[in-house]
Amino acid sequence: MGAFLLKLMALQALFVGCLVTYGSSQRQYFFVRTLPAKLAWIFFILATTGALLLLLTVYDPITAGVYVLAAIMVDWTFVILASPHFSMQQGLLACGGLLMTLTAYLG
Amino acid sequence: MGLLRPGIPSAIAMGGFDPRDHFRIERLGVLGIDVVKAKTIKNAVEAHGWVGVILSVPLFIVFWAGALTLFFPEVSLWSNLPLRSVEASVQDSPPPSLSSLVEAQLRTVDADTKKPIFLSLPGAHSPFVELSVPIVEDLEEEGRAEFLVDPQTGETISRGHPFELASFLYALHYNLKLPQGAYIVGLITLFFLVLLMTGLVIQLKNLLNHFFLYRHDKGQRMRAYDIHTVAGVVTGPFALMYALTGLMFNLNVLFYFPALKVVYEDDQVALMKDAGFPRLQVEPAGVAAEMPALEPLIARVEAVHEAEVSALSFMAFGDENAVIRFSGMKDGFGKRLDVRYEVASQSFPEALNAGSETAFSGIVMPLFMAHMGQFGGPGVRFLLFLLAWGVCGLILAGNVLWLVKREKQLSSYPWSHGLVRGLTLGACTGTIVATAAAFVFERSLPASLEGRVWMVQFIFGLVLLASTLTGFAVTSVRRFLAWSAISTAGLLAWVFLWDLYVYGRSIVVLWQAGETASGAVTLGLLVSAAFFAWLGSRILALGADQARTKAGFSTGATQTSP
Repeated sequence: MGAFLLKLMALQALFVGCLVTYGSSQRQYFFVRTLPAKLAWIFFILATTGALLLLLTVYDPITAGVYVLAAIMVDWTFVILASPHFSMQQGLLACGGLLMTLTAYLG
Repeated sequence: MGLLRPGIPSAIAMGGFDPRDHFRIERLGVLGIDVVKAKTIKNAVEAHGWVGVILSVPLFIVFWAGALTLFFPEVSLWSNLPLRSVEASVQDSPPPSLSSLVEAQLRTVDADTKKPIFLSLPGAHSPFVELSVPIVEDLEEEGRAEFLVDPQTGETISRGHPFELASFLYALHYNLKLPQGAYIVGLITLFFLVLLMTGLVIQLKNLLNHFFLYRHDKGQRMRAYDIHTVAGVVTGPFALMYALTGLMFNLNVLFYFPALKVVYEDDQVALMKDAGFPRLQVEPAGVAAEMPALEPLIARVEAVHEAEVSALSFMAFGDENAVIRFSGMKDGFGKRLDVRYEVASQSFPEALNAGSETAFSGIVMPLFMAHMGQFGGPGVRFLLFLLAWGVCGLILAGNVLWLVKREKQLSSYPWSHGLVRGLTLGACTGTIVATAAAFVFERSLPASLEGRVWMVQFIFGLVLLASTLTGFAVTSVRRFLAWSAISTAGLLAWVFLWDLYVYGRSIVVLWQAGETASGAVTLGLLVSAAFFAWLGSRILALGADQARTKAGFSTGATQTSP
């Protein structure tokens, strides 16, 4: 499988993981109902582990670790600050997905 | 998509959260929780606010320029576009050898070969061979002649570097273009660490509860507070890494001089050798010797060390005692290449190559690579770039918060209020507008214009000053921020259109030849222009919404009052 696809899958998994944890918060604007917190955080841990494993096939361990950490920080900042400004929440999904696709494409 | 919310309901209404809890620290004591703890937090808030507002401008410039410096190679290639010959880049003629290319340039100047000659190979940051030659008894150009040479034809493209925007931004990042600026930036980084620690103390209690809290619809103060908090907490690990590594690079004087004076008794050569950065002293014998072909040597070094050679330096060039140093990066995280070749023995002797890999250099180099984002490719740099923008947003939000919080106190002192506003918000947003203006002038001034490097830097300073003065004079912070964003968008859009009109064909040809950096910067400028236009219009719209809401409330109050 190409490096681009591996990175794309890893980054999209991280984005969804971050989105789900955001959805488990009382302060969220994304889902109609707040998601169960335990399930959301378990999903986040699984998504992060999966993303790390995928990136380890492309990068050395330190680079993969920093990549995952940086992506999580960007995703959370983006989701928290952008979500209330989207009148249609599908727009947030599209923008976040596009941002992660662009990151994967850049290499 | 039935799970997703179609509109924007108020989270406050659902959670019953009091948005003013953060500012009611005194209440903790009244409630009998812990007066001492409350005082600690209150002191931390004061320290955080004052240190933050004083350091906001240099800190903002350091982070903003640092964010752009992550794309130093791309910006450098983009700047050099007017020097590129698209036809030359796709021709198949055999290029001249590197040795002949160096010798040809040395014939044009009175070179001082006792000092090192530096050669940068064409690569990620430049399509040209860059040569820096020390000149005998000539103080012009800091005693060195700089050449940009076309590696395909051997033709001298330029004497000196006419396009220095990327280097200017890099210098702003590490020394603010000030005398002794590296130490100033070191001190600023030290206080940035203080800001991070006090921020942590302030947020510790609510770190998890308020992790996702952003009240976009609760007024300017709450919005600024939440942006500041969210960006600060979420990007905390990134900011801490940059604070620590930046401190290490810029305040190394703290451990360098004591070690030099006390342990090494002023023996700088021994200190640098033990640190893993040995300095090589070569005395020319005065006997001429032919220099070896460089290409086979580069290929040999790259194969043996599994590395990429990016630069060479020659000591005693053309002399019997000549030594050639090969620098670059090895495969893996932060592993540098530093290999010396002795021309007389035609070998890489152990005596010349010992001591370049020590425990100290083994730690410093990975940290430097992490700081500069030189790992993992452009994707990682893009993420770090976004995070650095996040920190810039955090600084701006902090400024807005400080000003709004003290609006009533400062309302009796309009001059003081204006001064603080100009020196914080005006200069911070001015840095963004000034960068956009610098891009405009970097692109539009002719390459052959004398002093163009200085002019681009002057324009940057001029716009920064103008924005600071405007910040002093304006009455509405919101409108000022909005119009700064819109001005930035306009300038960046202008650069994009200029690129499209003048260099469109070159960009497309280079892109098709696999050189995507220049085109990527042009597209990046377009995306940035769109982002700033959206941001500006959004800030204006938020202001209009709040004005309407206020007007509605006041009308309602008038109507219902008896």
